[in-house]
Amino acid sequence: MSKAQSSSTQSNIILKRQLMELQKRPVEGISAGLVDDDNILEWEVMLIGPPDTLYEGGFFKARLSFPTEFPLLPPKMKFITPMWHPNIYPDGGVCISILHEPKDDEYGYESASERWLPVHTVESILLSVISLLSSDNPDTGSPANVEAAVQVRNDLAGYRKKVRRLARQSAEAAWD
Amino acid sequence: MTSSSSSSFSLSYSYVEAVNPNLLCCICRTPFNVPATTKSCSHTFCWECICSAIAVLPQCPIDRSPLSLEDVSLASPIVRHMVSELPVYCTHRSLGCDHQCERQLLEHHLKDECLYEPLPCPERKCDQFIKRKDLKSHSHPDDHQSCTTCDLKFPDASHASGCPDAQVSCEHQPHGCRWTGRQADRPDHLERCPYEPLKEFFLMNSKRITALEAENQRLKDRLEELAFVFDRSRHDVHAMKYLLHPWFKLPANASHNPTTSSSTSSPTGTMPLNGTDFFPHSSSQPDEHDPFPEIFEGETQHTLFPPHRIPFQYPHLLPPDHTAPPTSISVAPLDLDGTLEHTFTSLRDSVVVLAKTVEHTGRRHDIALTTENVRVAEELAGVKAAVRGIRQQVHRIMMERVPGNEMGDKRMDPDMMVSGNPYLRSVLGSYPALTKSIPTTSVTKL
Ligand SMILES: [Zn+2]
Ligand SMILES: [Zn+2]
Ligand SMILES: [Zn+2]
Ligand SMILES: [Zn+2]
Ligand SMILES: [Zn+2]
Ligand SMILES: [Zn+2]
Repeated sequence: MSKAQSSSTQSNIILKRQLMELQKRPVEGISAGLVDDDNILEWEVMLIGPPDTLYEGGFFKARLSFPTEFPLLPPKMKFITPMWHPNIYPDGGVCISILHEPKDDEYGYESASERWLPVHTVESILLSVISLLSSDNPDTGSPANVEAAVQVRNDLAGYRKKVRRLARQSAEAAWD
Repeated sequence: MTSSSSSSFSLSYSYVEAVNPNLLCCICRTPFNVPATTKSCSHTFCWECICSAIAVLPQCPIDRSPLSLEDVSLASPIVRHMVSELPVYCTHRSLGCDHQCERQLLEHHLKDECLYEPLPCPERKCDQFIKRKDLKSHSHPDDHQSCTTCDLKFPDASHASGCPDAQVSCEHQPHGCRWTGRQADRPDHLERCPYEPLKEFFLMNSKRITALEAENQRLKDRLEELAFVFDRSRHDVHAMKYLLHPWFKLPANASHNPTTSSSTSSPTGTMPLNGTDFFPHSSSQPDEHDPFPEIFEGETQHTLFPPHRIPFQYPHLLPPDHTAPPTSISVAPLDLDGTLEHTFTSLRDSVVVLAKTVEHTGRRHDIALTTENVRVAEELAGVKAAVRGIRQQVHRIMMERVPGNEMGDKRMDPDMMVSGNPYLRSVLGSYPALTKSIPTTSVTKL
């Protein structure tokens, strides 16, 4: 049995357990499931906009793609619901430090101490994303979405308005 | 995926109770499989988890301190025991096995016991995996072209688990059920089998017997060990006995050899180790019972000395004459009846007695010497008187020879007379002190 296979078995079992855990004891504001029941590495999650934030009332769908090395390496997260945020790429990709592989240097500007650790779980990832959305003043240093970052700096009211509109639209889309 | 159970055991365990969070690996979030601890930061993970994590990034997954494979070692035995003793369900619980045991025993259960463990075809004729409980009925189409029991040419579904007409015995046969019959009738029998309700009891009992056998074995081992220790001790005791030899005593109440005490041939009493050969003198003079002649009159209370004693006589040491009648000095013999300590005590007492005897003898010699001196002095006085008488007589004779008063210059000095007379000189010369003590003046005055 090759190493890759045993590692994928390990990530499969860990992911299965975490999914079961999340479904048995749901965390407030999070629901999780598989895109395809035969592929444990592709998750679809729904985040409910945290109350008292711009995202309140919104339903934000995202995909989690886990590598076979999980939990040694982090998953990738990508919103399907259109988002407007300096730390979310225009294509929906989420750029937060705990999702960055600890070894690559392309994010050299951020402190390595915030990057991925094998001790993280799906739940801890999603909670970090919720806390990212809850922040009133998004960090605009080294943004993933430059336009959004510029708007935060120059036209905060316009930025808020745009986020509110997307949140409303996401709620409508969810009910369709 | 199901066949990979042996390589990733840790992930397929199903724990009976919630496990203490301290025993969970924070990488795979299950209780440690093979717990490994980092030397630098003392974090514990599964061995496989931390090794694969280091392969991805050489850092501690918890605190990011630099880490290499050399920094990882097996966790302490306590941790290893704690996880290997966690109760788990059988891997085949979903298939119907409700066995549960310590985690470390599960492998054994699957390998040797579990009825639901899939096993490869025993005859290697097919690629199927068959549950252990179905192994007996596992067959291949070409094995059973015809059934030997019922002569059916091509056994159908009714023969899936053996021929229904085959003669079988009850599964409780080992416990005493004598039923035999068609295989097809066995389930019916089982419902009525008197042994069926006792199934649990038999199980419990056989477990107990196994436990007792194990215990028995353990006790046997222990016994052997003790027998060895005992042998060695006995050897030591023998060596000790040999060293102590005549002094070795059985406890007073041991009725070792009750006749010895009354036997006159063995005055030394019980000698379990042939002491009489070893100390031949101890068999002499058993009837001598007067160890204290008058010389010891001051201390007749030698209660320490038992009656068996042999006086040693030293007649030649006594002064050859007078005053005390010839006495024998009695010294306690080597007493072999009591304990070693007793013997030492009696030897010491003998030494004391000897010391006293020596002192006493010395004193007696002093007295004899003084008496002798007095006697010599008296004799001397007698001799002195005799000499004086002789001197006077000599003088008178001399005076008679020289006529009248004309002695004048020719008068002889008495000393001259003595020195001139060879007899007197020899008598007086042997008493030089006397020569001076005889006053010449008294002679001249006469
Ligand atoms: Zn682990
Ligand atoms: Zn550490
Ligand atoms: Zn089992
Ligand atoms: Zn077969
Ligand atoms: Zn048949
Ligand atoms: Zn029966």
